[in-house]
Amino acid sequence: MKTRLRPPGFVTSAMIFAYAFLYGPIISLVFYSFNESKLVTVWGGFSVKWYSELFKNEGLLNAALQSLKIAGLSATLAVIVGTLASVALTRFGAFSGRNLMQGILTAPLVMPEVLLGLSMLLLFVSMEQVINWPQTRGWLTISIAHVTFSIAYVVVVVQSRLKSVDRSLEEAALDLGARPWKVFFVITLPLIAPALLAGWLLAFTLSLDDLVIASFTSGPGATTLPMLVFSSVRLGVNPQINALATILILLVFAGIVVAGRVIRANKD
Amino acid sequence: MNRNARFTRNGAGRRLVVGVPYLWMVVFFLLPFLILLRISFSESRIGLPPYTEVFEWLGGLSFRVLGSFSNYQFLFTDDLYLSAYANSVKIAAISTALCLLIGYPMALGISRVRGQARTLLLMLVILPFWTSFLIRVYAWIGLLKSEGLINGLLLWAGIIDSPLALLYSPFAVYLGITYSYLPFMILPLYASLERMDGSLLEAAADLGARPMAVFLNVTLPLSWPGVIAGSMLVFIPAIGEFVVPELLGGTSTLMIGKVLWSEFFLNRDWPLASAVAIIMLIILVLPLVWWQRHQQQSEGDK
Amino acid sequence: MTVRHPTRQLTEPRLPAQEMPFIQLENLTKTYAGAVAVNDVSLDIHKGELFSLLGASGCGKSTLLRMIAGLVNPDSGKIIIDGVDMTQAPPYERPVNMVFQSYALFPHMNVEQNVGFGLRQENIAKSEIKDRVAAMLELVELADFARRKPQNMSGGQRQRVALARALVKQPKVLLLDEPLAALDKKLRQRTQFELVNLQEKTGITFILVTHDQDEAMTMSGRIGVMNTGALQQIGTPAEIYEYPASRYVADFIGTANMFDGVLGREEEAGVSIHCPELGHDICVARRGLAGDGAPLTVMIRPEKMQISLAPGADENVNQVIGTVTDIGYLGDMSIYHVRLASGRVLQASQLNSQHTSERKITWQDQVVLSWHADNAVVLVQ
Repeated sequence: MKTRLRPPGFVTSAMIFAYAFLYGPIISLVFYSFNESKLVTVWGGFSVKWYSELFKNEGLLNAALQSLKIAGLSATLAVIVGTLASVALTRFGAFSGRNLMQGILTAPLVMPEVLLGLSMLLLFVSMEQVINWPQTRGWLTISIAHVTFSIAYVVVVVQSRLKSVDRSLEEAALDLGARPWKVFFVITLPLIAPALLAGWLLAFTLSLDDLVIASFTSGPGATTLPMLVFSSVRLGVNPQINALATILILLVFAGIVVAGRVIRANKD
Repeated sequence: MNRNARFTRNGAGRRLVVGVPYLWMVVFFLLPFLILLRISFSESRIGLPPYTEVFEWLGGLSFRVLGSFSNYQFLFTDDLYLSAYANSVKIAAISTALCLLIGYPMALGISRVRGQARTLLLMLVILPFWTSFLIRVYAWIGLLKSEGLINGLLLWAGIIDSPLALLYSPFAVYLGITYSYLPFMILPLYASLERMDGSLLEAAADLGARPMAVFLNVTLPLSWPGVIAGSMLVFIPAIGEFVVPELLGGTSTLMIGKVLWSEFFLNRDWPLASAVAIIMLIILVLPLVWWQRHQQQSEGDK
Repeated sequence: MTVRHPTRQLTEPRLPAQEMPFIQLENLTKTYAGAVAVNDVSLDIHKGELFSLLGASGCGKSTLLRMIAGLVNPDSGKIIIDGVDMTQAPPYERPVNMVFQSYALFPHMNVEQNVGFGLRQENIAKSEIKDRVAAMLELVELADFARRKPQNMSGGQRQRVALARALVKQPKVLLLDEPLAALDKKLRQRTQFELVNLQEKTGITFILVTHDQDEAMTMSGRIGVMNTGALQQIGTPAEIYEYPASRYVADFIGTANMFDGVLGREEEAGVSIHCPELGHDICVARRGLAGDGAPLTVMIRPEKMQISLAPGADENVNQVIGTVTDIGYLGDMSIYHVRLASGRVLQASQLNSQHTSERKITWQDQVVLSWHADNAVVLVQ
């Protein structure tokens, strides 16, 4: 029911300011990616030359491929491990060590990246000494590190979905003679599928976006896209990066629109 | 909890479901911190690995402790580290306050809008989060530098005569952290405001409370858990932030994340970097423990 | 739409008509996205009355109540409380307080703080607030619970906190939105009487919204029956039950046997009405009906029909013959479903203490249903 308690004018203007704050920088980024001039702030006419240069930049393309590989692998693993963890936390009641499990699954959400990165690197170095693995650091060690902090995000998404699933559906399947594993795959999994997709996308994006942890856990051979972008932008503004940013933003927007359509189609 | 017990009695399956994530997190999350602690007591050396052993095994169960507190002693005697810690906490606290200031009206506004518009507004908050963090910080370089957009506009409008040194200043760091962490503040705030029973606000108005009194007496206290959750999600990672001070702060801002990075990558002093990390961890655990206590207390109230 | 029965009044009007109504609602209308929630409602409520708005969910009764509270703005119309036009006044400036359906107790305040909340919004001395809260908690028998948080209390206790919180402001009007809906049946019945006592003790005008006809009948001085945003009928419980103004009211309040008929001649005892479903004409004690052959509806309450195994001797009663198809035993009374030759099934109820001379009526019995001419009501709609 509608009431008189509507947002006052002050809230509305604060919202307009906040959205401008959120989107202003992004819009300026996109705008200057079409700038002819190399000086990002001087408008030198419309041009797409930074895009064509971007696609000729082999080092950047290789780094992008490397990043996609790591993101795909780590997101998939994180969803599998994270879903197991969510099931354990929401369906197994009180088991010994449950509080510790919840704790170590939530901690990476707030842990500064430098801490995660450094400690993971030290782990890999120590493991190499003790069990002689991993001998080189690269895409695999970065992926393991990414899985570890992505699990936390997957658990947040999947756990809340699992909590909202009507338990009597699972109980009905058990009652009708399905064994627990079967119930999980035939009843629970389809019901939480949207959350799994959301968790995967989240983990994928986080991995694709990560600079700090990858810098620590990477070896000499492996450079990810953020690492390359970072080494480029710390030298100052580079219109190629604007072009890259524009492409990434477009991809995200397209992804969101598609996801929205899929969700709406599923609802109908 | 009998409902839960019924779901999986199957021992092996149950052990697998609990065991796999447990093992993963213990090996790749908990264990690294123990190693971090151990190495913080060792000393830097040239070679592989670039640190000395902390324990020397003498066979059987006996060992000799080689480690020392020298790294920690160094941290507490050199002003650089102490002021870096203090500065990080200060910057994180101010940025958290700024996020709260911008985020609260926004979350309140979104929670009062109905239907499709609400979904859209919420989406617009989450969307930047999906685009690269690094690139969003980078965007501010273009806006803040002396020949950047903001200075250009201010010069054009005649408000200033010469460009302001916006980039590579503490101001840029506050701005950058507030900007990148704002969604983390808004989402928990929104969740707590959206959950609020609208009839409580109506009841307050019905009992004679003016809009401001309704906000102060009902809305604000009931959204307190959201305020705390949002503040934690901003404050704690912001303390260890590296990208923002590195790209926007230049040499003028000292933050502990940057110090750790340079100890590790530039000075290659892994043990000292570890000690810096351990102290940072201790600083972070304090608010976390307080938060946990607070949550248990408020649950106990119900 | 309001049709007052012209010929009979069961009870005298309680209030002198010349007294100025305490609350005047004039032509209130509210639409939500094209759907009419409240449609041109006008209503006068007098001082000290316990008035109920009764209707099915979605009939607009809650919206009407919220308009009086100031929580909903009417699209058009006027709300006058104690002679002051309050149509545009915000909720916090109205001399009106509400007991919400969910009670809306502030979870972060204890009972004392909840009850004192409204007083703290005015410039009242702390000591006076304390005294008034304590007195109010005494009145609702919650003095021992002053420091409890509402979530640690039972439903009945919470309801009393909500009541105390609204009453402590000494409002001119107390609005109650389904105040008993969350309570279990036993408690609900007891609370009904407590509410009535409280109303009599305080003398405050109560406006109650409910979907429960028993609740409305038990508690109210007058009832307004609402349907699809409009007031269908206003009257005392007895008026509304005995002389419903429309098919909707007849059907909504209690059980009714209704059949379509056509108006016939005037007779000595009333008018004759031709009802094809009954098989013959019946006589209804109502005069002044114009127009032979006009279609109308006749309504008879089940308890007004005598059920017996043999036809009665009295020629002045209407009689129909049918077969018993179902008997529902309710303890204090029984309900009989009787199928007529036309296939139409009528309901008749009889107190079980009335089973006297004859043998017990049972399934497949051929029975006679009879009623006096003045027990049927004609609905011209």
